[in-house]
Amino acid sequence: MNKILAIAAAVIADAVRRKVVWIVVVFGALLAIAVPSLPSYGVGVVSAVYREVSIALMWVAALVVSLALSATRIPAEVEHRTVFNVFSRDVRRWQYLTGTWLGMFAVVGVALVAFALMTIGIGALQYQEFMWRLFEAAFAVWLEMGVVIAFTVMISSVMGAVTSVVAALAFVFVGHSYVSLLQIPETQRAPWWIPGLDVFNVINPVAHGTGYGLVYAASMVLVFAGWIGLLLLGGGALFSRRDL
Amino acid sequence: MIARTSQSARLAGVVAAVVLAATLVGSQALAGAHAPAGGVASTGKLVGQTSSAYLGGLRTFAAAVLWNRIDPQFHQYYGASFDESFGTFTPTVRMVQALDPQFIQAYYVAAYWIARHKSVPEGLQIAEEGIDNNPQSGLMRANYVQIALLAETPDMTEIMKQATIGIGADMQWASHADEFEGLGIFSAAFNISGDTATVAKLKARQAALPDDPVSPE
Repeated sequence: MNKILAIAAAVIADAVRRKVVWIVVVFGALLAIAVPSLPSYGVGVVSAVYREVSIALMWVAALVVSLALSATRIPAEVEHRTVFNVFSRDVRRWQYLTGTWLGMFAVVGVALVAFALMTIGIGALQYQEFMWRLFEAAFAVWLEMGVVIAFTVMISSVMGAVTSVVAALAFVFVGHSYVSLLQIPETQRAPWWIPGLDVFNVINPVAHGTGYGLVYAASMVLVFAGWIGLLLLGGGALFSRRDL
Repeated sequence: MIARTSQSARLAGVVAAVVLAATLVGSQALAGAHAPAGGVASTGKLVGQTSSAYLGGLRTFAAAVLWNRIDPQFHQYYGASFDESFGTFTPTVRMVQALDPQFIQAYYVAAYWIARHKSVPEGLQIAEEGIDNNPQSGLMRANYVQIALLAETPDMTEIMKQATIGIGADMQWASHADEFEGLGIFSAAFNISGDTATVAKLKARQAALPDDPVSPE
């Protein structure tokens, strides 16, 4: 476990060195530009629209950070041969992958907390309303990004950065849209027996409703655990067969 | 000995994969059972074929920006006549509908203009699309009734069906002005069908609406 944590700490330090914190500034600028031009629909600006736009921006920003971190690290470390320094210290390949994933997951988590705080702050200034429920959305987005990072780490353990990004985007697209792709009627729920990502899409209850309950949150965490376990297991299997 | 270790590691991997897959689908079932009312992913179901679910908010935003641009453009450059000039904006209005299927004003304006200047069936098609995407909207039912009444031989059965749904208590109105307008359209339909009692009730409902034209109910 210490080895995994040490690798995760190195990933976090590298993200700080690469000035990932700037994405928080970019996110804030995007929000500041978007808010004044939010629609009024002739009935006054609706704070629900603000919440929906904010969650969408949060998701896009988190996705960009996740892909930028996860698709590049392993191919770069292999190419620059720095990965051998790690393996020379008796670190197993699956430990390396797990530590890499954990570090990136932590970086995205911190960024999402910053995004959520900024969103709540701007919302409070604009609408005189503290929208704490946006943390529920940030949590769901964080879990989904954890899955996306695990998938990208798995692919990037055997493929290049560009291929990994494209594969991850396809994974996200299919994960959210298979209900439509399979032409399942909109009145029906997504089939539980097909693994998907829509369980993490909580835009409607957070933006327009009263959020989600604890049991739902727990089930999201379990879905997340299932995905992470499977993807890191797959990544470990693929990486262990790779000739470095 | 090494071969046996490798075999047992592989077996452990397979068992772990099965357990994790079961956890994944099992907890998806749990999430489905405890999803908040209305589900958690209808946005994804609606637009999944064309874009990722989470972009819903950005699509709504883009639709609103396009719609808000139409207003000054129309009044500053084309404002002489709605009848003559609005056609210039129908492609943009169509895009607004595609980006945000819940943007009811886009259906309301476009259906009427198309029915008047192109063809009633096409206008009716837009009105039907508005109802499909916004089944609880009173204005969309009124929109359908209004367009259907423009037909050479109006289908009174369907018109009365939509008007009856439209005056229901579960219908939603974006503003009192919309409701006032909608009730007037329904009154016209009930008047044609000879149901004067309902017309009187609808007139009373119109009269009881607050003067404030924009606040929703």
